[in-house]
Amino acid sequence: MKHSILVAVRRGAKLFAAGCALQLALASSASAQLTIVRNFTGGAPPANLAGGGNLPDIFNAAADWWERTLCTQHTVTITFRWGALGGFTLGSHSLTAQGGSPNRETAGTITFDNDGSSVFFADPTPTESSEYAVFVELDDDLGGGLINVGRLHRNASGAALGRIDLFTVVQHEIGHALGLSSANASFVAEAGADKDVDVVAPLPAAGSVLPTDPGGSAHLDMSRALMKPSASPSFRHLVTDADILANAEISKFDTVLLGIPIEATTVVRNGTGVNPTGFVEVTPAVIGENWSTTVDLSNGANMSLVVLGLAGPTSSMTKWGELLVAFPHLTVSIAPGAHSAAIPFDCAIVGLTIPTQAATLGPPKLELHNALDVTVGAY
Amino acid sequence: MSSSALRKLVLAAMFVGVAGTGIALALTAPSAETAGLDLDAEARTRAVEAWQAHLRKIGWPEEMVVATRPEFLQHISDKAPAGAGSWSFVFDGSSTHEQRVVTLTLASDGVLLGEPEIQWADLMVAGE
Ligand SMILES: [Zn+2]
Repeated sequence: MKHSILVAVRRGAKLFAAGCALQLALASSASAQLTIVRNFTGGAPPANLAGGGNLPDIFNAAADWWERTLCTQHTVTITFRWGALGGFTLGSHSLTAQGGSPNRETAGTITFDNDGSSVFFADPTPTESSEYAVFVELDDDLGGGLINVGRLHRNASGAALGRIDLFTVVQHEIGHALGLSSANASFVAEAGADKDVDVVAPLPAAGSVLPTDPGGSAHLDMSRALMKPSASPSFRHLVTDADILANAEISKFDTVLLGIPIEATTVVRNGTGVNPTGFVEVTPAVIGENWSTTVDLSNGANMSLVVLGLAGPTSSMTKWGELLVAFPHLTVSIAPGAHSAAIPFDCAIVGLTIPTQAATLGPPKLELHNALDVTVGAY
Repeated sequence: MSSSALRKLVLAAMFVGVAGTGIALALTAPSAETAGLDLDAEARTRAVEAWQAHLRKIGWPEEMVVATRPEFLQHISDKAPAGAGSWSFVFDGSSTHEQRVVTLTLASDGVLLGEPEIQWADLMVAGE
């Protein structure tokens, strides 16, 4: 925060819950972050690879996705490559190092089949899934209340039709490096004997019993989960809450973000329209990144304010213009034009919407400008 | 060699295999046929040792390492001459969704030649 000052202005006794969370988050310097270090060592893509995408990009998208679901401090290094696997094998994960307390995989290698027997669709935009017409989510109660157990795209077209989705396989293989691996001592301790993962507090859906492969492999015995042991052509499976909970329980990731990771959004709001536009630039509010915005000073003002309305949006006329964010709990950033704030890597604030309003300060006077409703995203 | 002498040797091989001192036995069993029998027991012992060494290498806690003696390491999946009287052994405990293979080579006197190779992987396969 080089050029601006954040001042917390509190009026009233009760803190709005979301505002409280944000203020705590902004005050926190520690980040609880899962980091997947990615080492691509090459190998030739299979000659029959279709779709126009490539393995490193798809791997990044899949690793980003997992990082946004398991919000706990840990680093795992994954070395991945193309290589011949033979038979019907699509992908292969080997744990090469584990440790720490709790015990987790710290290094692993993943190989994706390139001998031509696996016919992959490499999506250049894997998080958009536009090649699949239908998206289905399925819930089930496995003893801890309803949880999501299936998240799949189907009705494929184009290059996705009749091919195995590489994004699905990559997400699956990374999932092994996060807990569900037969060489992971934590998996053996959790599921080796009873062939299931018992979800316990503080994780959500505690009491859920997630069945693992009765044959002993480190997969979920759940037909719609990402961590089931096979993938079928023309389908895309995404990380389900069951997959997240299984890995979180095995590896003791105690903070998780269930659901599909939320993208940061910014919505312009200007009430009755009497206020002039103030915000001229704004970046997405992504956890772990810097949020910044610039306020237009072309009206002759020499200072600007960005008001973070922690009590939500509102609309009321004042002598300075229309107030668009609610009192009583405000955080105000004061700077000549550019404002920025470091958003901590804290999954608890993902999805939080912060109404913000710009203002400029004389000469000649204080003037209120438009508002932005900023939703904190995981990406 | 008489059949009773062979039986004694087989029993000795089983005993020595458990005790892990098969090299001494190999010195007392010079024929190719009986040396092969001795080597099988030695190979099984070496396979368990190799597996446990791998577990240590990848970070398993010691109490779990010593408690682990996978069943598949008691069954030789493949055995082939590897030159100069040595034999290579393969122990394959793989299933459709997991690869578990130990490969090692023993000299005719039971000495391990090179490092045993461990392949252990979680596998995803193509479905319907
Ligand atoms: Zn798998």
